[in-house]
Amino acid sequence: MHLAVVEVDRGTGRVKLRQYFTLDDMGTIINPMIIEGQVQGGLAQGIGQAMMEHVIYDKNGQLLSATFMDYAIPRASDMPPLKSEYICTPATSNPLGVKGGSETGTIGPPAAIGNAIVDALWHLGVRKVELPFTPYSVWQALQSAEV
Amino acid sequence: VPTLTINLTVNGKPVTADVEPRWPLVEFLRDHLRLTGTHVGCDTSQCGACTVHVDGVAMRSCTLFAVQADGCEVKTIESLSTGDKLHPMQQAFHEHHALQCGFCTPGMVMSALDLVRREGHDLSEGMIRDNLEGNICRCTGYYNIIKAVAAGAKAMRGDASS
Repeated sequence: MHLAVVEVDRGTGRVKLRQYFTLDDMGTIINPMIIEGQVQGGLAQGIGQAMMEHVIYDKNGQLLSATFMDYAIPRASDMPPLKSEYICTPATSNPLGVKGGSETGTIGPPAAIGNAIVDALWHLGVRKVELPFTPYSVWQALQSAEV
Repeated sequence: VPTLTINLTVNGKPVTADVEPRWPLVEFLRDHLRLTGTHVGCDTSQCGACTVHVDGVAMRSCTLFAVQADGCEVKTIESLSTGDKLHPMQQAFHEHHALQCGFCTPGMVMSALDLVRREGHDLSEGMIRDNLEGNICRCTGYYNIIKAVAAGAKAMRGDASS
């Protein structure tokens, strides 16, 4: 389960992540340090997918986002404060009760952040935003909102 | 291709070499001096993996020509440990699980040391985040790197190798 707390600038569409919560069922956890690292690192990848990473081609098939100048990925200052928790339901398919834990943090952010943005802008008539949630995308959602 | 002769100090040792003017410093360090601890990530100054110290200041060795380092003192990640003993900043990265694949780590450590040089040993989380703006990590989400830099900076207090 992922929960995001966001702040949206109505004028620019810029989204700031204020806080992030994760809860994972990893089964039996053998090495908590590595699991935590996988959640944290996966979260950065998921936040990148949700908020900035975009492979863009022009109509001739020319890649327009070919360098880190054009293809944004999260930097240290883009990451929100994170609180991660775990529950343990041992897997029944193996003697150790372990489950895959790699990059679990990657999965949740697009949904959690998108939901948080729509929730924040619901009273303005926004019902959906398009990935990635760049200032442009959120600004467009605001402009096309019905209210 | 004509070459130019440069004289510099690399990790404390004097080096004289004939280099092509087009060689980036990182190519000279990696391919000719075989100091492969310094990594090439993006080759365009965006990712910070190639960060080394030139005359004590953190610089991107992918966009600095080797000839520009003529007469300079260059320090790479290889200069930090003493035998098997890691530098306090390296030790902090180890202890805080601040690396997964490790590709960005040499650049992170060299940038962190430059931050300590500029800002001292008591670094706030916000200050570290802002100052690592030029170093990209794809694995860790930065959380443990921030912790390691803060701890490493503290551990360097009074340490002779800092």
